[in-house]
Amino acid sequence: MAAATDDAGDSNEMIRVVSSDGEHFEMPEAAANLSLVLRHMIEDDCADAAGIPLAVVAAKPLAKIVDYCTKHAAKSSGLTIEEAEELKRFDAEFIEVDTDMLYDLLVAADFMGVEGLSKLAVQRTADLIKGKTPEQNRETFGIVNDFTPEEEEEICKENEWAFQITKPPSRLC
Amino acid sequence: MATGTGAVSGPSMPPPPASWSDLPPGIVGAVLRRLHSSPDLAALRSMCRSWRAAVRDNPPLVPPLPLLLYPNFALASVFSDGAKATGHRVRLLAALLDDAFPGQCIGCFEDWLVCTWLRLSIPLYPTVGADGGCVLVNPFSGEKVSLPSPTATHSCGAIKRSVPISNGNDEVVCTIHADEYAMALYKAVLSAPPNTGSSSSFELDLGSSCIVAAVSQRKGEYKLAFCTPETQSWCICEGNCIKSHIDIEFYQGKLYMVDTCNGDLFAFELEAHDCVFPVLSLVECCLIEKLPKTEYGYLEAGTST
Repeated sequence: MAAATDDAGDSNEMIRVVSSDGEHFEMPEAAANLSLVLRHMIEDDCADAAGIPLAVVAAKPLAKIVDYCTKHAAKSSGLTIEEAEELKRFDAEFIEVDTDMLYDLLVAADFMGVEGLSKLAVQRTADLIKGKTPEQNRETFGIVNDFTPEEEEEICKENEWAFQITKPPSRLC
Repeated sequence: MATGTGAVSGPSMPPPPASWSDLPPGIVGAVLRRLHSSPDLAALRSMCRSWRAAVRDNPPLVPPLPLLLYPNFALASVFSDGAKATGHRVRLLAALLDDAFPGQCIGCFEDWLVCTWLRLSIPLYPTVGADGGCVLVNPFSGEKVSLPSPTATHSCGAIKRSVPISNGNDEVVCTIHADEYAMALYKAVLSAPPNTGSSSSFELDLGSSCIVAAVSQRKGEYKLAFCTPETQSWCICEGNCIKSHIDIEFYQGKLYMVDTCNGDLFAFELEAHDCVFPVLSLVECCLIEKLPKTEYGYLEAGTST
């Protein structure tokens, strides 16, 4: 439906959305349709001139999401190999963000039901975790170790075999 | 490392942005599914309480198979990291055994490995090439069960017994507490895993006790030997049928031994001497069709019975 740009007369209509902190954004309907939440709102005729309010999405991540959806909606069907490659490059650059933005994108994409972006952000998070110790990961994500000594001991035991990485040969828990 | 919950960085800080530890459980689960290597999965589980709780229902971590055993008895697991297939090795345990290098694994049974290591005494002569120790190790549980040393001297008086081959002219001589022996074991088989018999007594139960049978080759001499985790020495068997390269396997309560040079097959039955020592009670030459000779000698015995 989102891709049928030619036969649907109102598909060039711009959809307005409002961030939690009151900023307004516009995107083509085809782009908004990439969000499950927005698509349902549009189908239910909730998209008016005042814009669809997104109570939990702040302006910064919303701007990124509008970017993402606009780019992907423009290139959603009948991709040539070159276009697909270009979209891949766009994604790779798009997700090169700091962890604060990554967190916001993860939560916002999940909330808005933007499947492609959710996958992209989840993959980026997984890539950041890979090959690191829990301590390094806590530092990356600013997470506080809140385990009790007893829990810590249990985890150490559970992970004994997993964290003895061949190089460097150090205990990691 | 754990600073407790009351740690704050300053009195007048603005409210911190949403913390990664508050990431919705569903998203933590989605991240978990994108991780493929065990250390990464373990790292995700070990980050903080909320992440750990989020992935609690996922299957527990098990060491990925197959495992590699290094000469220093460190175990490693090799796995591919998603589509990239960049296999990397992870040590499972610092080392299964301390000071057991250079060592080797000469057999396995269920979760148990039979490990030996070279005797490194000074002077090396006359035990050059002999094993200094033998142990059963369960790498999954970390349990170890000592076996008598393959190289030992005893002064308590050897007990000898010769068992005739029931359908031949030869015999096999087995010796318990031999005065002196130095073996270099190259294969060991188990009748059962250790600790499965009656745990309260040391009595040998031929049906369920763990009997270790091993073959040794050192200085051109072959030996067949038996022990259990409870015995203080190996019962050493020698005879004309144990003169060249042999292979062994337990099958249906009997130990089978094949001479890999000429294909002769022997079946051994065991009994308990003094309620403790496994010794031969019957030796039978199995009359089988001679194996076809290949350019590599005869086929080795296996479990493909």
